[in-house]
Amino acid sequence: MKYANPKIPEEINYSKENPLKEFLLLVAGILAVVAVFVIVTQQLTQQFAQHIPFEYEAKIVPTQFIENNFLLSNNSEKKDYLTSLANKLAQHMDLPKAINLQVYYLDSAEINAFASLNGIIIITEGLLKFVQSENELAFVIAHEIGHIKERHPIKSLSSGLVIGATIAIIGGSINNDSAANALITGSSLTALNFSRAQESQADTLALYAIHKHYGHTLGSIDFFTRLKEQSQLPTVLSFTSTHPDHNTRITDAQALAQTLTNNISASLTALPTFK
Amino acid sequence: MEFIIFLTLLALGYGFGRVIEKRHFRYIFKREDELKNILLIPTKKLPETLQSDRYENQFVEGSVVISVDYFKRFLGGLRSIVGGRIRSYETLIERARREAIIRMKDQAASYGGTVIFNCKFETASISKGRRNSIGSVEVYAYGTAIVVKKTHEVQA
Repeated sequence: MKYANPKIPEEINYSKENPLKEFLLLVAGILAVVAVFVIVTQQLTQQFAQHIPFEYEAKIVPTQFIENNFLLSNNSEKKDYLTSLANKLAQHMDLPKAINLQVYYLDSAEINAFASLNGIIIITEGLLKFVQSENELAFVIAHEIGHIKERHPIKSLSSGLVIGATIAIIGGSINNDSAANALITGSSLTALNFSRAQESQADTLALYAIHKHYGHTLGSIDFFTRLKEQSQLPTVLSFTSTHPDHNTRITDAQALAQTLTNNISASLTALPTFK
Repeated sequence: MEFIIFLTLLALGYGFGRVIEKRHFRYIFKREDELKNILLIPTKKLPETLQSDRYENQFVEGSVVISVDYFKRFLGGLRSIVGGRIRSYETLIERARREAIIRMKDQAASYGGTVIFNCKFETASISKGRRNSIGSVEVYAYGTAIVVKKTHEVQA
């Protein structure tokens, strides 16, 4: 009997296939599943979230929280002006009775405005300096009121919590940090993409309210265009950061503004002069 | 930012991993060819033809530790979600196993041995269970080499 050690045949125990192929296939497949999951969950939780009573929001973000955690300006003149402007706009927006708007003026050079739970709207000093007419400012405020009317803060919070928790559980059970991280990144990208729809919704509501209040929509979109020209894209929360697709948003809003405005001789309302 | 670091690590892992793997496989093929005259016999008992006073037995071993790269590890992680052949680890283990044999044969060759019987393998994974650490695998091959007795030395 002859005994031999023949040369080991290659590619039986392992594959010489380029691992990139497997990588791309796996990443695409898993991301697709995650995306479907996120979209479905988001839709479902947001359906439920709009039935959460508004009073609950006050428990999540009490007024005190804003007062304690933000550098609020004590310029009551500007705060009162912003509040009255917001209330005037809100009259045209059919806010549910339970919703109580609270406008805060923030001591920050950053050009930003955002809406939060409990009807809270925060306007920065930087924004007030940046806008050139009341119409521009009104559009930004109306946009934030639009978010509040549609319960976007509570919807985002709810779906964010549900998706975050689920992904964390799945991610945690994967015994591999980088794969878990990829899962989380994939889901947050999908979620981000989805919130653009909310921005457009807020834009539309805002333009209708502006039209009712001033009788025209002149100046509303100027904020966008000038912001883009200066490429001042703030990094914080709502008004600009979640809008990667700035251009389509401007075009959409412009189109709507044009159909609403037929009074070409209308003029812009100036901002009041503050002491 | 974290995502950029992650992508960079992934790209580095892939690039270096591929180059190192290809080079290692080339080296393995070459060395296996050079050492093909040393026979491996997995049986416990020494074949009768080799049971002779002319031979003596010698313990030989070879061990190698190979680290997984970031890309392989990530790919393995993805695989662990959906299941299936972890191809990225298969090449790694294959290299480790064959390299361990080469080193064992090298040792046998240095004693003048031409046959290794009762070949066995052990594997150990290093930094097992610690998350976020790059894992590595050890393969240890050992056996009994048959070496021709140097008779004059025995008398000395």
